[in-house]
Amino acid sequence: MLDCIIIIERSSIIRKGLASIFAKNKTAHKICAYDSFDAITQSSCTCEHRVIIANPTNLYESVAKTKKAYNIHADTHFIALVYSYIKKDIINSFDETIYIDDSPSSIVNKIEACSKEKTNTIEHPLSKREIEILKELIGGRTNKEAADKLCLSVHTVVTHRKNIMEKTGIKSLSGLAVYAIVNNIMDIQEIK
Amino acid sequence: MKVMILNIDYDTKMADLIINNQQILYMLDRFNIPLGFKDATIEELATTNNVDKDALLAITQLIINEESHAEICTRNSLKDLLRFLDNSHQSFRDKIASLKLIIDKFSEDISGKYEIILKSFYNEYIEDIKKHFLFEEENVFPYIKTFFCDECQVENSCVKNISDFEGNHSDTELKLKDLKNILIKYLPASIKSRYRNKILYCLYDLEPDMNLHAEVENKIVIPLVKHLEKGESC
Repeated sequence: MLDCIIIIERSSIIRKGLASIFAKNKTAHKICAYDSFDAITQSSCTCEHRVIIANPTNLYESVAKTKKAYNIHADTHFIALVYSYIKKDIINSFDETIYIDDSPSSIVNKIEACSKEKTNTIEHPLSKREIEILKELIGGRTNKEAADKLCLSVHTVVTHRKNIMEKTGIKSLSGLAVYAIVNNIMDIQEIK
Repeated sequence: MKVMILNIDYDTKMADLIINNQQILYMLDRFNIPLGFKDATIEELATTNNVDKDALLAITQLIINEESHAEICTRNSLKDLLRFLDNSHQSFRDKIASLKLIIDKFSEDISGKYEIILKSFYNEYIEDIKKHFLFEEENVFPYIKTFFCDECQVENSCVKNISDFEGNHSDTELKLKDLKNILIKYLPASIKSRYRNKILYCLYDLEPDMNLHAEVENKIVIPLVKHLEKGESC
């Protein structure tokens, strides 16, 4: 069971409808519903293990920017609630999509699948430093450029790089990009 | 794990080797040697199917004992070794095309970021392989041909020496392993699709086949061409 589900949706009918589905199915300990992201910052919800279901039209440009703007933890799963035409690349930046005509059981399944995924991804084995370096390398920087940016020696970057490959078992940069996306280390827009 | 080195020579029966080793099957396919050959020996198979017996023995030894006996081969073996490499490319193209179909079906079962990132990874992998094949076909193979075909000439090739071509494989091999790892370890368990396993079955077939191709190049063809470059008689 999830700690908390946050619903961001302008329509109060839809907010209440979703909340009642989750309450009935005991999907989360706590369900919070707001009409916009602005309400989140003032809210008391500080749960760590949570998902946010949001109408994409409420986003502040993209999922990544919304997370930054509203101080939402990068690991938080975002689920799109779609009932009008939304551009594909916006929908793709979400972790999952629920549609207005989805059945209650399929909505609950999608949310539960997301929460399981989350527990899987918490324990990726890379250190903070390794994650920083991984991001620079995937972003297209050479060892030297990454070293300059992070104020490290090239030798240190190379050592970290080797460790990253050993820990993940993935050796190519494009494979590591997949790893970073799957483990929510980076957003798909940052890679493109 | 292979611990026993088998003594394999021209008189060894091919059927005894193939039963436990799928790479032998790939090799026979590349030389267009049909199955159903009863107790034929390596030499008999070579003669019946117009394959150079030294090339057939060298590759068989490489597969079974993972050891190179490049010195068995001579200038006369080159033509068939090249045929082996060239036919491998065709077979890989077929395998990769069917793998792509399965990946496309898998993509229908997953969505959002996973779909995009997996497709972009796979497309990049295919591009790498195509480039690698093309480089060999346009540069390396014509260069090797000059050693057994007097009329063959290479112009404007970027391979002037077989050493230019050594170690060219590694990247595509890495990516194939990475794809396996991603499917096995990292795509979340919530992605349920029967195509996930099917992709892996394809990769388990492709990997030893591609390894064999690389081994034949690195352990038989390149050493042989190096000898011929030095003008040593083989």
